[in-house]
Amino acid sequence: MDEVGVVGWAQTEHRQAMERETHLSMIFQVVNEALSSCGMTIHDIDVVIDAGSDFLDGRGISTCISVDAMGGHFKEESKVAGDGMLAAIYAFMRIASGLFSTALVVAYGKSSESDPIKQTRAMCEPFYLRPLGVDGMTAAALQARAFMHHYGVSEEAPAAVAVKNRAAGALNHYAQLQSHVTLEEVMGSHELVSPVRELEASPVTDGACAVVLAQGDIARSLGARPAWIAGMGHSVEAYSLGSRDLHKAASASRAASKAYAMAGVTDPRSQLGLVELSEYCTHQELMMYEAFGLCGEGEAAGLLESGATARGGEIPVNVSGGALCANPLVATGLVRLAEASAQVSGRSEGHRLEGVKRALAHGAGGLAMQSAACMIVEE
Amino acid sequence: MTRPVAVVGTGQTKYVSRREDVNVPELVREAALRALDDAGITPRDVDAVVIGSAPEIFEGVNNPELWIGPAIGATGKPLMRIHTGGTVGASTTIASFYHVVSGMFDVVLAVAFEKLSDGVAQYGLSACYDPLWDRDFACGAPRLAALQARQYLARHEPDVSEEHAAMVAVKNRKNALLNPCAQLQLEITVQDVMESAPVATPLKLLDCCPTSDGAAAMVIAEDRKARKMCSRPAWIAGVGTCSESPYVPHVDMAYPESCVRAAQQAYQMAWIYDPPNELDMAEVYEAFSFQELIWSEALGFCGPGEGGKLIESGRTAMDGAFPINPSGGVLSANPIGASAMIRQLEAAMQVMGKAGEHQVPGVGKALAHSWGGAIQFSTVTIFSSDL
Amino acid sequence: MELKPPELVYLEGETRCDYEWATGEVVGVFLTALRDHARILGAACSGCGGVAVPPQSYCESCGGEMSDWREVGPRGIVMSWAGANGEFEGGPVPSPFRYVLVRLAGADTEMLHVAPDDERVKVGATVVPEFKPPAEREGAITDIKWFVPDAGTGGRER
Repeated sequence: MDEVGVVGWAQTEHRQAMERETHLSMIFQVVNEALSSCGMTIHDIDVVIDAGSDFLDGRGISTCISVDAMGGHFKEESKVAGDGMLAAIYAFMRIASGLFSTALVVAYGKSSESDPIKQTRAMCEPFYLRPLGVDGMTAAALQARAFMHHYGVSEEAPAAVAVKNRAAGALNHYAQLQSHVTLEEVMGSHELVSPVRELEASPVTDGACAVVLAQGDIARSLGARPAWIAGMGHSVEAYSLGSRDLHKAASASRAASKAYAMAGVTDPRSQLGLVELSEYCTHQELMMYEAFGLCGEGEAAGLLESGATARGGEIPVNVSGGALCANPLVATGLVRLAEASAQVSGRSEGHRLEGVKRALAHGAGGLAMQSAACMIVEE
Repeated sequence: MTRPVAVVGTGQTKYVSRREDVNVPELVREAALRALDDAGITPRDVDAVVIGSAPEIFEGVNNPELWIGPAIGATGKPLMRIHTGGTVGASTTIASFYHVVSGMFDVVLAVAFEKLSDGVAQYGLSACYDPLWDRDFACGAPRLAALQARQYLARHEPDVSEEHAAMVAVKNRKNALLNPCAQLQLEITVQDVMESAPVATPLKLLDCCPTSDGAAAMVIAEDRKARKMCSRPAWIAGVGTCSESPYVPHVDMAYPESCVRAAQQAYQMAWIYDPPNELDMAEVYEAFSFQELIWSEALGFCGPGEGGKLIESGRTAMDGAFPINPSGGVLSANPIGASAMIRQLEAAMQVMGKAGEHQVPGVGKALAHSWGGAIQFSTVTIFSSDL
Repeated sequence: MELKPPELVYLEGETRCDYEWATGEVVGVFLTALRDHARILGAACSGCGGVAVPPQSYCESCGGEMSDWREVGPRGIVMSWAGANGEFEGGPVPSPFRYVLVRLAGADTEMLHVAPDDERVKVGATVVPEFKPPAEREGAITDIKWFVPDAGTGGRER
């Protein structure tokens, strides 16, 4: 496989409502910062691949107006409708084809201007789901109970994930939520859709992220250490919740397996130094411990309890605070890639973790994570 | 050396204004199964799926690819959706091309669709305009195309005229008579077009495309597998796309820069120096009759302002030296999200020798073009019978 | 003229669109059976044999064609549930209520629907559908009002 490196990145300081910014200004900011972070200009970029959500933006073909803010004017440019990690995978393919040398990946979401729950409601097909008022939170809650019941996981376990990730977010100046929470606070927080509690679900966030990929020689010539892309995978499950084994994150498992095979990872727990995953609700982080092979089936709560996935543990997960601390929809998976790349290349600030040689980054989409996309980066 | 990639199977539904007998996933499934059948494979042989469709507001379901995927065998497979407006059908094929040429996958199923009858097409199109600046004034696509036609006429009159555009409509609507999938199949005259009801002057009813329900699908494969699946694959010899800033006053709609650049990129990749003589035919995205004249110039089939001369010459007729839109074009069927893929599909079928009654004899190289957005996105794909 | 930094200006708008979604034949038959006969139908896959409820014309698991109709239920087991509390908006019945995934007898998939906010509606519980009266049924998934704990009556229509 041709060498492709993640050479530059930038993200906004994610906030509940960036009132002084428009989509365009958020995008323009992260694109410029990502380019400066690797000493490039927009003229060095061969192709722009972006991700956005028309529903969230409230306009059709969102790239119609954002294309120049992302530097796509008179360039090859294409858009993926889905999580930003899929855009990163497509951008990788463009470079791996040998026909492009550099790519800019951009993803953004401005949830404060719309209603993120309604846009999940709109994901429901019109015959069997829409009339029932099902939305993303409902689907996640059904998944949570299926998982917790199947494996006998207590309600304290997803709450403990929240405690861990909020503590991590407190060290990350990009995170929207930068304060600790206690287990009591999480368990006592308002129930959104049982069994998911408010402090176990990601917040409403405005934010954007941009990442620069470059072919091997160019990546090496830039001076700053790149994060080399070692593997990737993406997959989907069946659409209807009733046709899926909701207690397992099957698409995440397949996506990770494909990435591991490409990267030559046979024992993720010992061969990964970090996992950055997109947990829209904290029970999903537990599900992904198992899906990513960090522990055996049914052992996720035990892994968490052992401290292995905490910042100082054997296999830290979400040292950025994860989606729980900032969920700029669409951009969330790309932020995970930026975080993983920053850690692996030693260019992370503030919440830096020493000695991360290889990291797995994950993005999710659809109801109850129907879709998953993963990338492995290494030094 | 870039990995050779080809189209080895195609499938489409018959385009009609309303398909009330199927829902969206079933419509897409119909085209997908036909393409798989054409390639002689089953869903099991597909490594990845790419779905394309226009703004979600047309069918009213967000992330429709997640609903549709299982209907086309994508459960358990890599799936992504491409969304680039009017060019999406082509961008989907192009993304599939990169899926394969990157070495990541060997066989990819690309599908694109539209089911406009489930919603309200013109409202959906109006929602594409910026709510801050344009939406209060915008009313769908014909007005934008009318602006474009006006700009074109103003620049090149009397070398080009409304009658020249009408000749395009006559040609393409007649070509559609030989395409069993086309929605509109009309034998009309220039006078019929000129006398048809005004829609947005200078556009008249017969200058305009219909709205359609339909889906198209293609199987794209790498070298070795392509040769096993197809005796005459349509090799993807050149690809170019270009996006432009959206501000209408900045875009030269009569000679769009994004189209010129996309074409240059594709020609360069395909080693084509003299397009009208090296290409054997073209499928261009003429949602409105004037556009065929405009794209012919921007794609280099003739010089600027010579679109009128080109249509008059008869070269671009079905029996001419360089047929354009033997399928009947977008004027004859426009399932928006699929239309750009249909241009590629038709061009590929011509190279594969599978275009049936509207087959142009001896097609070795064919070009497919599309445009989208506020005339700001362009794609060009070139298919060849040899590597 | 002195230019002051502007106050924040917000433009409010709504994008609304009306739809008439074609159901296709299989979904149409299912919804018609709810409306006209208060019966729940599943479809068996010609490929993997799985019975899907509610049905599509294709099998979501294997991509095969659905070939035979099967009547399923009325009893079913709750496989998972989620609690829509008193503030939940947009549900098919007044809040609070529960969303449920029900494995109906004879089906290989779960049907997503709703149930009362009743502690007997829990994982493993047996439930039966309660249909709306015939005059209120319109050929929609909500022709079933909800699923209620099985009191042994079989849950026939009112």
